[in-house]
Amino acid sequence: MKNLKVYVLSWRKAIGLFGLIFSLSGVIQAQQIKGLVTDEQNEPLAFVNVLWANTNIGASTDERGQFKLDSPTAFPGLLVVSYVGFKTDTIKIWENMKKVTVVLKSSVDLVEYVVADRQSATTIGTITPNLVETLSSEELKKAACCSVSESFGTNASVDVNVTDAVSGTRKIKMLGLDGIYTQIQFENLPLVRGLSASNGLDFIPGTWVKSIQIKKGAGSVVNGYESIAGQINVELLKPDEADKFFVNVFANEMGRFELNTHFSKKFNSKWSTMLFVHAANQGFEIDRNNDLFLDIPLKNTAIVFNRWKYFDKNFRFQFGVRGVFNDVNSGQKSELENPYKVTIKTNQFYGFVKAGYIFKSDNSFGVVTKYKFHEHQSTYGLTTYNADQNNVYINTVYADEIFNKKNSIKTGVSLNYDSYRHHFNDSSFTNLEVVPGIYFEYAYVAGKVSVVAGIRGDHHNQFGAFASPRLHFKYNLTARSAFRLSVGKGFRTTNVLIENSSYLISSRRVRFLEILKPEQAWNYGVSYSHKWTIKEMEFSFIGDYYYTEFENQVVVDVEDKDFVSFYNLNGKSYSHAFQAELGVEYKSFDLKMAYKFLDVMTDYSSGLKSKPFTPRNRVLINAGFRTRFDKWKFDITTLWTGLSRVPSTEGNLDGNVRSTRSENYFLVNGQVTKKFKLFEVYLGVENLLNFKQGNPIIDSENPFGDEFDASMIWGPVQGRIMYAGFRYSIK
Amino acid sequence: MKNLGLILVVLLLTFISTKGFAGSDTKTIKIQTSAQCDMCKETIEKGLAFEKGVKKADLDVDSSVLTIEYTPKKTNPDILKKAVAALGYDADEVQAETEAYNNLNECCKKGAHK
Repeated sequence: MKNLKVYVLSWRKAIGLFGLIFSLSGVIQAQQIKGLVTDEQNEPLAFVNVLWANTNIGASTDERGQFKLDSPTAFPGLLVVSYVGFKTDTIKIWENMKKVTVVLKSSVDLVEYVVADRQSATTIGTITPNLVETLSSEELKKAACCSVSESFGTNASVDVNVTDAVSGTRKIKMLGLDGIYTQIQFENLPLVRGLSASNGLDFIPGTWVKSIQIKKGAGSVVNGYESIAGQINVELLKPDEADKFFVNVFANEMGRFELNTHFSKKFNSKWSTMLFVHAANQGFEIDRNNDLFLDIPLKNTAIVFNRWKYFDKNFRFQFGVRGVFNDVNSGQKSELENPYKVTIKTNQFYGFVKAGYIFKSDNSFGVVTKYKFHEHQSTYGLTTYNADQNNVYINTVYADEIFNKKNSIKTGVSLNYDSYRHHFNDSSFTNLEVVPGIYFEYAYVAGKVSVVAGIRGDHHNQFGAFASPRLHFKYNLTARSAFRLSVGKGFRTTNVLIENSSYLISSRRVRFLEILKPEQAWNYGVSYSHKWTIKEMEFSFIGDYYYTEFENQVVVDVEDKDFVSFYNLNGKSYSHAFQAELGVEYKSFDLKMAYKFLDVMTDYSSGLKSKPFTPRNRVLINAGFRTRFDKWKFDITTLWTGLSRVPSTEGNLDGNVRSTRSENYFLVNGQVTKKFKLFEVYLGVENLLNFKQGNPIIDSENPFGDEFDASMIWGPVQGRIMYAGFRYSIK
Repeated sequence: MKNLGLILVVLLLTFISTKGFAGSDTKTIKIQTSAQCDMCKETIEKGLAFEKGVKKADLDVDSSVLTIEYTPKKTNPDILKKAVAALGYDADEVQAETEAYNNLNECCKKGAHK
């Protein structure tokens, strides 16, 4: 042992001496690193891009899969290895490494857009044909509470709004359009559809998430016809990569308590499994603004998810089951004689199977299938609404190259089956939707240019055939800047009662003015992203503009204070969304500033008006600081929200008429995290400035009267809330 | 509001106390390790940063000597050597733990830079 040490010492010194002489004598002779890139079958891959992260310095592999590259100027260097059809890999290169072998994993998961870079919390790639923003688990930790829908607080592309002052339901918006127009997926399987639209992302705890991909605009035809405003794909932790055990306990001063935990077990190199458990509770009634309504609903939630993974060179297989039990009880305080109550009970079962066979690195066949049963039981005062949904989804993907590595295709067939039963007050109705479809997608990726063109045809049993063309184009001006274009069409059918259940918490009467047709829209987008370095400061800029134009939309009309009316669009409905974002990273500081402009207009029966509760201007500033080895982390996020239109309450008694304009407001959230050897603790505050929408519930004294309305919400209804928690894991 | 202020003050004090009184009562130890590259340096320094009583850890890659500043009340050389061994590296007479060593990246294993 002793001998070895002496030996090691001496060769280190020898190398050091050599290096010194070398560098003195041959300044011109730059250090080089050699490498080999292969697929998982050990076949060399040609034309693979290798690039030092955040630079323009890169190379491609030759026919033998080999490359040579000048060593980086600073160590460790980050080498980004990317190739179409494979997951992008980032490798740390240390000073003494002269040779490197990279094995790229095929992206058979049908994920054509994973950009993995675990260094940064949010990454915007310049590699993929469409612009993808990836939020890592680090980003989600910036807002420790709690579910994925709450985690978007530090992101400018996705807005999160409270829909009413009673049920605690949160909804996301993209491009100023409701979350229903965004296709929300779990590892490229449909996640939030149909009846889960009311609270879908609330059922994914943030600590289960490995990463989230956000894409604005038209999506790939491979994933279906429903994307209009964009897509959000949630990747959960994988059984063969995750910690053996993890637990997170969270509590806030309002009495909310959450427990998130997961266990993973690797049986051998092929089989692994993982169990996720979530429990949440809000146990006591709180009414801080003395309007006799609970500020936060009483709640009991349990979610269990188990998945199994089989991973072999050529054959991959996964299956999983998830159960959700959620019980919400809100409205007036129980001590009142005849309280107005809102109760929402949700039970969900979700099962999926995914299988893929890889013939060659770029030639594969995959089948994904999913079954969901969702049961929703609710009361809103005297209104009752119960519904259930059975859903089956099957999709197949065949991927191959044509002519050469630069051209590839994906094609397959899909089936979506939905059977609904609704009971609204005294009326009952059923709805059966069967939609088989076929698609074809062609991709050309070579050097600076990439094009993805796809088309799909689907046949709806009630509404006939639909065509959904999509096109993406990217041009790299430099290795670190990209210009992108996208065009696409999508369609979806509606479930208006569940999608607009917040309006049921009011004295409004529900009116269906005609038979509702599917919604159809075109989306056009352009974007420019650019990264650059000044001294040690890393800058990134992204500017994008998206225009969405509806051919048909189910209009949700709350312009008359006595009604919520649903009818088909007669005229125009569109959204202009512009966003500019600047990011700076300097040593252990990072700063992100974003501005968003939204112009969303719809032709109501009373004329062309802007969408209610949709502010034209928003500014988000997110700043972070961490000490060495992340021992301490500080994060602060400020969101400024501009004015938005509030539907008229004209005709109410004097005290119950509200302004038709909201107020500007600042929302500030902050968090401190301290890391110890085995665990982390965090302490944070939401809504630090304690801004609240005053008297959010109209006529809260008479909930059974004609003027009661808890759905006219444009701002926070809860004040400042402190929270704390810890995370513990066993690797 | 009161609570918030109090918590912030407590946090600030904790922060200052962990940073501020480092020099008052510390000792320095030098340990010969089997580390041999910058990647090993990061692993060892990061691992020791979260050890109780460690103020500062610095590995000189050329000599493989690890210099640790520590508080003698909270830890001692034996514990520190074991902590290094638990990361997969020899520390003077204490040999690397086998499981941790096997988990090291290829380039950090002994003889990788021959």
